[in-house]
Amino acid sequence: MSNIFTEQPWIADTGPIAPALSGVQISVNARRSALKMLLSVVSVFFLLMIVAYGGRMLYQDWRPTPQINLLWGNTGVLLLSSLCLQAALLWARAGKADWVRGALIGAGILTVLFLAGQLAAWQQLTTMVLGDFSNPSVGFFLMITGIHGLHMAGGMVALMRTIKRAFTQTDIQSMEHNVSNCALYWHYLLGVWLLVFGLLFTGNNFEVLLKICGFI
Amino acid sequence: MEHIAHDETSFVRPAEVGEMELYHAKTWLGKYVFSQDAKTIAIQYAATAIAIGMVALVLSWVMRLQLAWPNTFTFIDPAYYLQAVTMHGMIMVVYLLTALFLGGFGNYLIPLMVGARDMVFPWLNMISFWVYFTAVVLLAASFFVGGGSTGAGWTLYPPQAILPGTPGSETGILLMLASLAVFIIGFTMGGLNYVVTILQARTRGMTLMRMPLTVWGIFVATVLALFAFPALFVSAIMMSLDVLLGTSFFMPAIMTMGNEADHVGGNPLLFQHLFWFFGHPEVYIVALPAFGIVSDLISIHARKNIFGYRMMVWAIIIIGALSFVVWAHHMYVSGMNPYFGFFFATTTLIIAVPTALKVYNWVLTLWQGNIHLTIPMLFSIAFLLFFINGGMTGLFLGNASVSMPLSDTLFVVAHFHMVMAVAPVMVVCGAIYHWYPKITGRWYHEGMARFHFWVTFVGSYLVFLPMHYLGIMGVPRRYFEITGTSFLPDSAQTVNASITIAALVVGFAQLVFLYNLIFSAMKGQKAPGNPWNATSLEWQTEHTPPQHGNFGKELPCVYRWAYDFSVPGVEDDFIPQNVPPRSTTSEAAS
Repeated sequence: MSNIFTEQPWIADTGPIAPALSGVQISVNARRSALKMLLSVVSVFFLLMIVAYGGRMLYQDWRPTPQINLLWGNTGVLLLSSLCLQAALLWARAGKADWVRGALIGAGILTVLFLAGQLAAWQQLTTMVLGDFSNPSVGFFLMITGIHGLHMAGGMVALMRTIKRAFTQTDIQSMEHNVSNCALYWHYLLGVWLLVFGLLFTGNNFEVLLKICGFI
Repeated sequence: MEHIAHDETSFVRPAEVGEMELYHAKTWLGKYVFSQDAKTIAIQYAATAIAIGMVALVLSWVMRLQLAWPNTFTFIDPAYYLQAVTMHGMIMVVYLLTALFLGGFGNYLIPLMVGARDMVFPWLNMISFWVYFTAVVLLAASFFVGGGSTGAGWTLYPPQAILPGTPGSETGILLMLASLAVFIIGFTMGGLNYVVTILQARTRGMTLMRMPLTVWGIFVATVLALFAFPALFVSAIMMSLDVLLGTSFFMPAIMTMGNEADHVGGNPLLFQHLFWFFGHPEVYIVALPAFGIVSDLISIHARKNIFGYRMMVWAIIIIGALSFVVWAHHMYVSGMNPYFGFFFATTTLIIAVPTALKVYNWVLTLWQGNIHLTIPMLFSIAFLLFFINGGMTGLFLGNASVSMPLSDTLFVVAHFHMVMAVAPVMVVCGAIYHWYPKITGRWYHEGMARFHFWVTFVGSYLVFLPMHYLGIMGVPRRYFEITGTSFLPDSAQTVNASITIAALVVGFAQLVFLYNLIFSAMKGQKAPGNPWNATSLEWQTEHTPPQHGNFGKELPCVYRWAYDFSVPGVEDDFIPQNVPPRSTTSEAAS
C-alpha cells in the first residue's frame, strides 16, 4: 500500500487504488476528527498559558495565588460530571436510551454546578489579602480559570443539543456518536483542569512546573 | 492516435461512505449573504480582505507622503503617522494576506481541487466568514473612536502600547485586541474545516501525494495558523486584562506622565515571546500558500511537470515545522542570552535550506519548459525575483551579529516587504488572473492586466530596493521625520521622495487592477472551461463557473497526479487528473 513516504505520484494508476489513502473512501466521523483537531489547538492555548505562568514565577517578586479550598470541591464536581458522560456513553453502546438521557442531564447539572463554584471561588479570591489584581498570579488565576470556564460553557451548548436530540431521536447509534464526542470533550477539559489546578493553584509545585517549562 | 475503451471500476473501488448532503438555499439572503457554498464564502472573504487592504494601501501613502515631504501635509501629525504605520502593518499581514490566502483561495480551491462537493462543515464555514467580517468591522471602528486607532506599531509591544501618550491607548488598542481575538475565533472555525476537508473529503483516487501543491501549501499553512494563533490570542487577552482590570501580566512597575502606575511586576518580554511565537509562523502562513500556488502556476504555464514534487511537499512540511523554533530572531536586541541568539540564528539559517530547495525546483521547472508568458506566468517570475531578493537579505537579518546594527532600520522594512509582502502579493495577483476565467466564466482585459503587471513589478522594485540602502545608512523605521542628522546625506531625502512617487504609481496600478476585475466580470469575453489546458480537478467541472456542489451527478475519480504535462506519446500536452490510464495512447501501449 502506498503512503506519503513511498508513493511515486508521477506514476498513474495501473491497478486498484489503495482505499486507505483515498479520502472519502474512509468512513471516519468528520466531527470526531474536527473535535480532536480543536482539542489539539486548545492544548497549545493552555500550554502557552502554563509556560507563561512558569516564566513569571522566576521573578523575585512572585507572590503565589492564595489557596482556595472550594476548588477541591469544584474539582470533585467536574470529575463526577465527566463520569456521568462516560456512563452515558457506555449505556448508549448497550442500547439503554433512558439511562443515557438521565446521565446526560446529570452531567449538565453538575457542569452548571462546577461553573457556579468557579464563580464563587473568584468571589472568595477578591476578598483575600493577596487577592488584588495587580498580583500577577491572581491575574493568571482569573484568566486561566475564566478561559477554562468559557470552554466548559461552550461545551454546554453542545451538551444541550445532545440532550435535546436524545429526547427527540430514537436512533441509538447517532446518539452514541454525539455522546461520545461530548464525553471526549469533558474528559479533556477535566484533564486540563487537573493539570492547571494541580500545577498552578495547589501550591508547593513550583519546582515541578519550572522543570516542565525548562526554566531549571 | 488509438483510443482504447476503459473500465473505471477496475481502478477505483466504491466509496465506503455516502456523499455529503448539500444545503440548498431557498432565499436570496441564504444564497448570496449567508451562503454555505464555499465558493461564495471565498468571494466574500476575498472582497472583504481586498476592501480593508485598500484602506491599508491608502495608509501607506500617508506614511510615504510624510517621509518624502516632511511637514508639507498638515493633516499628517506624529500621532496620525504612527497610527497609519500600525494599522497598515496589521491589516496587510493579518486581515488581508492571511484572510485572502486561507479564507479566499482556501475556500474556493480546496473542495474543487480535492474533488469534494463542499467543505465538510458548510454552516460553520459561513459562520467563520461572518466572524471574520465582525473582526474587520471592529478594527475599522477604531479609526472613529476617541483617540483614534492604536499607534503602537503592528507588534503592539507593551508597556508602550497601553500607556498614555501612545496614540489610541484609550480605546483604539482595546478594539485592536478585541478584533484580533475575534479574528482568531473565526479563523479557527474555518481552519478546522479546511484541514478536515483535505484529510477526509478527498475524492476517490486523490491520495495525499496526488494533491496539487496549492492544496499542500494551504493545508500546512492552516495547520500552522491553528497552532500559532493561540499565542496571539493569549497575549491579546492578557493585555486586555492589563488595560481593563489593572492586572500586571506585561506591565512592570512604571512611571507614566510623572505618576506611578498601578501595575507591578509584569514582564514586557513575555509579550514579545508570545507575539513572535505567533509572528514568525505568520510569515509562513502567508508564504506557504504562495509557495504552493506559484508551483502550480509555473508548472501549468511552462507546460512541464513540477520538478521534485515530493521534495516540494516535504519542504513545505519542514519549513512549517521549523517556523515554530525561530521566533526569537525577532528579539536579538531584547537583551537575550547570547547562547539563545546563537540557537535562533542557527535554526533560522537551517530554514533557508528547504526554502532554497524550493527556489531551485521552481527554476528547474522553468528550465527547458515551454514557457508561455501569460499574465499568471509573469507574476510567478516576478515572485521568484522578489522572493530571492528578500530571502538573501534574510540571511543578513538571521545572523544575530549582523542583524543588531540593522535592527529597526529601513533595511528590515525592505527585507520583509520583499519576502512576505510583495512576493506573496505577486502570487495573489498571478493566482487571481489564473483562476479568474474559472471563477467568473469571463476573460479579464489583457492590456490592463499587462499594464498592471509591469507597473506593479517595476514600481515595487523602485520602492523597496533603494530602501535597503537607506537602511544600511542607518535610517530608522517608524520615525515621523529625521532632520538635523549628520550621518545622512541630502541624497537620502531625494531617495525617500523617489520611493514615494513609485509607491503612489504602484498604488494607482492596483486601482486599474480592481477596475479590470470588476469590469471584466460583467463585460469580459466568455472564457472556456479549461482555458489553460490545466490538469487539476477545478478545471474539469461540468459548468464554468462551477455550480453549487462543484461537480456533476458523480464526483470525479482521480487516476494520476496534477502534473502530467507534455507526456511523451500523448497527443495533447496535458492529461487531466480524472482521465483513466487506458484512454491515453502511451499508457495503453504499456
